[in-house]
Amino acid sequence: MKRFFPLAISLLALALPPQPAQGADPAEEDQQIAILQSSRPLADKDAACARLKWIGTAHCVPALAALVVDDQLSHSARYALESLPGPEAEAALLQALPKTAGSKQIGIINSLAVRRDIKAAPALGGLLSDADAGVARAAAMALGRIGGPQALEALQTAWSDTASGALHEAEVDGLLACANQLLTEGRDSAALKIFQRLYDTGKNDGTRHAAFRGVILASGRRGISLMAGAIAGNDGASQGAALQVAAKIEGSDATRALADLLPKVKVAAQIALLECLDQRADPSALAAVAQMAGSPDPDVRLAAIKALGDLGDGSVAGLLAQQAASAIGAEKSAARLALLDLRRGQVTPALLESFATAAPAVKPELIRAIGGRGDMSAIPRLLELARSQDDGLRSSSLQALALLAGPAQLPDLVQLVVQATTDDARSEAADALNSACQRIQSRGGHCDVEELVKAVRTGPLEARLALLPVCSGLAEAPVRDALRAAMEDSEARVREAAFRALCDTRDGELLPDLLKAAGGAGDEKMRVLAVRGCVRLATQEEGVKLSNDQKLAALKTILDKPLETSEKRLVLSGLGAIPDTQALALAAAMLDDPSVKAEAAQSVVQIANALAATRPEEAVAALTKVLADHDADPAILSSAEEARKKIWKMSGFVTLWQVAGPYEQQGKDFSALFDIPFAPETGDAASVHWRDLPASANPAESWKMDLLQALGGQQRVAYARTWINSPKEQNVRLEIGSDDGVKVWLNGLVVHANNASRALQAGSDEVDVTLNQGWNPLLLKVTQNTAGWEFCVRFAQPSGEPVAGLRAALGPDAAGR
Amino acid sequence: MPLLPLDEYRRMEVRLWPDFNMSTRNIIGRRKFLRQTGAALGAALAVPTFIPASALGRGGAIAPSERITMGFIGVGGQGTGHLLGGAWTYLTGGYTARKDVQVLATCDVRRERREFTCQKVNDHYREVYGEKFTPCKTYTDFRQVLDRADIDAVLIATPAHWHATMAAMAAQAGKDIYCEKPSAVTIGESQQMLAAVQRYGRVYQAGTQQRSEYGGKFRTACEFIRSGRIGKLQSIYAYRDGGGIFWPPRFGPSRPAPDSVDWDLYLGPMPWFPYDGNVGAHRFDIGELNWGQHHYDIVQWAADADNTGPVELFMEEDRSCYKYASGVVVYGKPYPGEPVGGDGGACFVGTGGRIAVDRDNLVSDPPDIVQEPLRPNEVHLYHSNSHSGNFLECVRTRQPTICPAEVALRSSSALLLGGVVKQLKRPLKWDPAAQRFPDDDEANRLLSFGRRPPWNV
Repeated sequence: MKRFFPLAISLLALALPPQPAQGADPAEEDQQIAILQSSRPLADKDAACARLKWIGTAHCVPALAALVVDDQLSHSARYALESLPGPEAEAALLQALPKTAGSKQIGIINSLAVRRDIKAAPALGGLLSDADAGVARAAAMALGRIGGPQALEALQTAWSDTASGALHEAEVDGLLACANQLLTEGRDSAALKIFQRLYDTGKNDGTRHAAFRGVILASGRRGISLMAGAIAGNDGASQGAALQVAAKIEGSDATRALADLLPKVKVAAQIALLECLDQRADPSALAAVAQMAGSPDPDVRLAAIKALGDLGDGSVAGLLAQQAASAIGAEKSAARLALLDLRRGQVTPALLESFATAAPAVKPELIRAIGGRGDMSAIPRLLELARSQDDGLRSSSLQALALLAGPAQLPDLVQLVVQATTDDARSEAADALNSACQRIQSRGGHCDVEELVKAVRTGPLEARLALLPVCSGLAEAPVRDALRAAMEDSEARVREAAFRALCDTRDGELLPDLLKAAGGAGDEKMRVLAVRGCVRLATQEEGVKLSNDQKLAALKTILDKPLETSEKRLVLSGLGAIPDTQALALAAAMLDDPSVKAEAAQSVVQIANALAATRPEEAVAALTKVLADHDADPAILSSAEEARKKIWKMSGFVTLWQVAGPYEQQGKDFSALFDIPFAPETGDAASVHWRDLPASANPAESWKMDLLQALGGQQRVAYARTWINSPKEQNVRLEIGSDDGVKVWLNGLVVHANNASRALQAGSDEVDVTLNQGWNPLLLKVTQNTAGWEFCVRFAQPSGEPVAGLRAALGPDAAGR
Repeated sequence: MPLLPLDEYRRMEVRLWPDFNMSTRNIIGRRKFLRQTGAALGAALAVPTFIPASALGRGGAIAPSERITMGFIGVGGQGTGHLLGGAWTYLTGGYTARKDVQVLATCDVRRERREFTCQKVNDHYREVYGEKFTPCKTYTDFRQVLDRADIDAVLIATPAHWHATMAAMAAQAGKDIYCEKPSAVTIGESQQMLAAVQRYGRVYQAGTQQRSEYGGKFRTACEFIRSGRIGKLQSIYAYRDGGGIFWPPRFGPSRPAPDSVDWDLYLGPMPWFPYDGNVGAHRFDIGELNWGQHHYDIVQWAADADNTGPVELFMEEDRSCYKYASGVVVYGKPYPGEPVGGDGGACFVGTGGRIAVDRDNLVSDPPDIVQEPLRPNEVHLYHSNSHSGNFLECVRTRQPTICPAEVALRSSSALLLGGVVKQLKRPLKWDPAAQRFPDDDEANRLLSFGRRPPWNV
């Protein structure tokens, strides 16, 4: 609740009644009535009215009625009367009507409307011809709210075809309300008469729109043809009304009428109808909507495609696939989405069947839909199609299988690789197998690797080469063994493929193998791959959980050998990800190597940021070394500078405090208490009970001192004290954050005062102060409004750098010197 | 540094600099109770915004006669964000930048607001259209905006106490309406607003944009819940509880209102009291009137309660709570230990797990509940990916928006009923069909709030 704005307490008292009113005692009501009838100030009477809204009974009606005619208090009295149950309140309002005029009278009219007081109809009818236009308008609208035969008659009498203006519109509003009321009562023909007349004589589109809506709704079965006629017509008001009402008229007759209109109306109406039919969700419109998917207008096509997704079944799958294949941009995406959305009837069989006759460009769209829909029943047919000689078909089927295949299909996919007759077929099948394995594992499933391992060990050469990369994504003992065996294979190409697979592996158990490969002599390119693989596996692979020590051991193994620059860079990037002082030291050491000092600096900054909280000293030292190289890249220097400043900023907080309080005074809020001196500042030491202020419960927020936790409450203050020891007299910056306000005494003198109401923000207040040599008592007074109550204090040099040698203790004798 | 016994602590000196050994500084990452979803939830199934090409200016321009003309009433922070764009509106350049809209009026009781925004609008149009355009004008009195026959629609972003009254008046004037939340400050005025919108057959969009925006997270969460992915829904933690409005003290020291502020029009239907300098949007709020409808709109959607409301209300730990007839209980507080939900959302608990959603996150326990995209045979809810786009589209097609007045009434009522129980502090029964508290005169009094004349609808 840090954004809470403090309200004056008196305001709150009125906003929320002090106790619930149920069972409120009659004595209180009498008290409030007495206030109303006294000569107390207006504010008190207003408050009494507000209270009576909650607890008033028939008993208080006379007192309120007397005030309802009062210029100043009319609204207050009405506030209570309008919602007071019972005939007395109603009668009082009605009686007050002729006694008032102008704005007071309008207020009473409005209250009668809210109460729907039928008895008021005659009086309100009389006011329809009142000289005051505002009164007449209010009366017209009120009659509409009240309804009933008398109200209706009064309105119809007053209303004239030929009039216009604000009063006329108010009468129209009243009549519309009455007519709608008749509709809900099932009195359609009476309602229709009114609506029809209003439509025929309406002076503006808004009225005619509202009236025509009513005409349709009041016309029973005929309404549908009226609606259709208007949609096909040229009159904006009735067309708009008809389209809007279309959503409300249920039944297949209405759907049919709307669907029949589609080919007959203009583009804008077609789009509206398509949206309407979509929302109606009546599949009987499907054929008509499908036709619109072939419209020459792209917006119509788009609306139709979207509707097909919701209304369609398998019969439109082919059409949508064609659209997906041939359209571009938004239409293409909409068609693809619609294929995924189809949910009526048996869609997957329809999609599969369409293959037979689908054009080559369309087949991939069908496959894409099958894959995206996640319907596993398509798998057998897809496996068949994956063996097709047709490249496009095979390719799409494999893509779909990548999305659908479960553990049971993995052997089939392996067989597809083994039995493939072209390189493309083989690599696509291997990709599908790989995707399937990754997807299964990411959902927490298990891949049975038996067939894969068998094929890797003993399959045809090309298949072995295609399957070895798939091993990278698996972390199973048989796969590991197969990979190790392949590294020693007699066939050179197999050894190379195995080596590459090892470099890409996600299996942490293979790290020793990879380290050995990285250290082995041989082709430099391969060695770099291996080094990269080691760094990745040790420090970046999500599934591989190594301790910092294990990661460091791996990287040190690499560093022990002579390395090219590119390899050193890889190692540095790995070090950067290890938040450990050893990593920091290794990276800092490489700052001396001109060929990689830039990368070393980046790593140092990265590690220092990660160690900022736990090992700030080492982090700062390493950053200082980076900053010592003035020739370094300015961007690096600036990020090191920033990192160091951030660490400094987190340090130097005083967290050793004693607290006294809370102190409060009746009727005084937090801001008034700010300047009221309590014992800790008056020198009345004996009466003050100081106790230790506990550290924050949350170690991550150890720099904040939480008074709410320790003391709690609202509208009070507390004091906190400590002693700061400085090795010499010096000027420093005192940084303070507080929730809410704070006053600071250093060495007995006020150095800062901020009577604020705010959330805590470290360093929000900065004060330049002078510390004496030796002990400096520091006293804080912190005010509490509501919600949070906390403070933080820090000393630094004005430049932000540390202040050497400062200490804090609880009491000048604390050191026991 | 480990915590020492207090005596030793007192005797010790503690260095502030440079050893940094003052206290433990291990940073413990915030424990994640529910894991995050993968980044691109359903990205493969992303739907393009359905905005007809003509609306976006196929070929570049849209004839003036094809543009939807709008008036903006209330151009403070929120209104200006809608009008001109801003960080929260996910609408670069706002409605002003849209080629299918023509802003003809800015209206505010504060002179500098209406003039500033009008200037910005005209500057933009001048840049895009040269000198040939119908300029935007400023108004103090919104009735003059409603009187303009050439304005199709209004966007209402005034203070909360005006919303329902102004929306109803706009409907009576034949305008389509986008109205900011809360849709109403009492249930009584909410019903009046709905009646007016229906009576005049207007298009209405409530400013509860979470049903459309934020990457569809809220819709997805509701689809998953209504498809049974967490089993049978049992309880909902709404993170915020009820809200309402209070009667301000009317008689106090008076100071003259500056002539740059129309104080009478600011107050509108609220009782008259002397100018005090505060023309804020939420000065009469009780509780969560400002934010609550965002949360309860999603609660209602997920609970499939768009046509109904609570049947029982009660207080628990000082927060308002309620129960639907279905048995689902809604608590106006956070789910213990679950941080996701605070930013407009909720945590939904079922027999098979739970889902928490807010503007930034959609998570579940177990985690895989939200990992799989919506299947064809699961519940598909109204799909909109632009709240303003949906409104404008429906202005053209006359079809129901994603947050029409009927939905707005129920969502705001869920919030306002919470406000009633918060004030009465006793259990209540509510009849959602009749929209009254059965046999409870005291509670029924709080359904309405007498308006100051001449304002009424």
